[in-house]
Amino acid sequence: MINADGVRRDTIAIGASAGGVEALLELLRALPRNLPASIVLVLHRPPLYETHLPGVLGRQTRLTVLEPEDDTPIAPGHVYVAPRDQHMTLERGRLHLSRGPKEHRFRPAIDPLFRSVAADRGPHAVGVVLSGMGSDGVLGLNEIKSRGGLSLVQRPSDAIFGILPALAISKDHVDAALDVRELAEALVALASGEAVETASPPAVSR
Amino acid sequence: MPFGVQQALPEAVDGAPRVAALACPDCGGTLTVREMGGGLHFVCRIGHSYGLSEVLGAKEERLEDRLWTAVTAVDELAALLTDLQSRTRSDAARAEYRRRTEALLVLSNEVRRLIDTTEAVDLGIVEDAGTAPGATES
Repeated sequence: MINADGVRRDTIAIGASAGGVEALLELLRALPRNLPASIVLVLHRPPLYETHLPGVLGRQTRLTVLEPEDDTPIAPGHVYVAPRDQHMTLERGRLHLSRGPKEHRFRPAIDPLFRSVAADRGPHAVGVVLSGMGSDGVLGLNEIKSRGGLSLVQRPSDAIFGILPALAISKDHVDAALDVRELAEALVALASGEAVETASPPAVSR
Repeated sequence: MPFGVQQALPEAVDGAPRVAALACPDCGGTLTVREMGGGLHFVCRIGHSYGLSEVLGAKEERLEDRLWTAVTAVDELAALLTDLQSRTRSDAARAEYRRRTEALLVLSNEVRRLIDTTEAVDLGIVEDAGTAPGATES
């Protein structure tokens, strides 16, 4: 069981890399319009192409999807997608964009967002890592955990690329590994401060 | 007019590969350019090949890498000079270290600001436009 202490986990930080778009679309499709949480999202994306990512994602969900401008305050029922070629971070409830150094050779990267959400929201944060390769997001999830937040990953066998969620699990700070449908249900419950029944934490492979 | 090579592409571009004044993004070798399929096609000595948007994207990334290298060089030198300020017994040397450090901090902030405000070529626009082969327009 997770969130037995009944904290309202109202800031959801999602990181997705290769193979994550499919899981992301399915996840967003399953979330209700009145979700009492804000979602901040990094999807690894090409830096030099303007794509219509918020539009594509927005058609699949009842939530409002947008790429924020610098200094945008976050609000429930919204999905804030990091724009191309910029890191997105949360400070004092507002999103900031910066063209700082790449991390894990990515910009936007997942770690900078997760670190900032951990620092800004502490126990109210949930970090979610979906399909991908490499290690962007693993240390960020650890940060969220260390500040009292929760960490969820897509179950590696459910992901197109399970390497990234598996790596997070192996670091022994993942609360649950779920398929996308279960992730959506869990996020809805956690946003309202409910506890969620899950299988015992994933086995640590060393 | 500064001494050096001003052009990147040969005067005329058609189906025959011609040497370009451009380095291969992956190995640094010489690139040739030709027109192929309505666009520019680049191939290097050993076989790396690119469309126009890929060369532009690689060159933009390389440029940013080099700017960060400049920032590292500036910040490292400033850090060394800062450490030296507290370790020298010479007032003259300390003043000289401080003078240079302050100038370097200004430079570091300026290069970081340039990187931060960069808006690189939008490759979507490049690909939509295609390229007209042949000589430059007069």
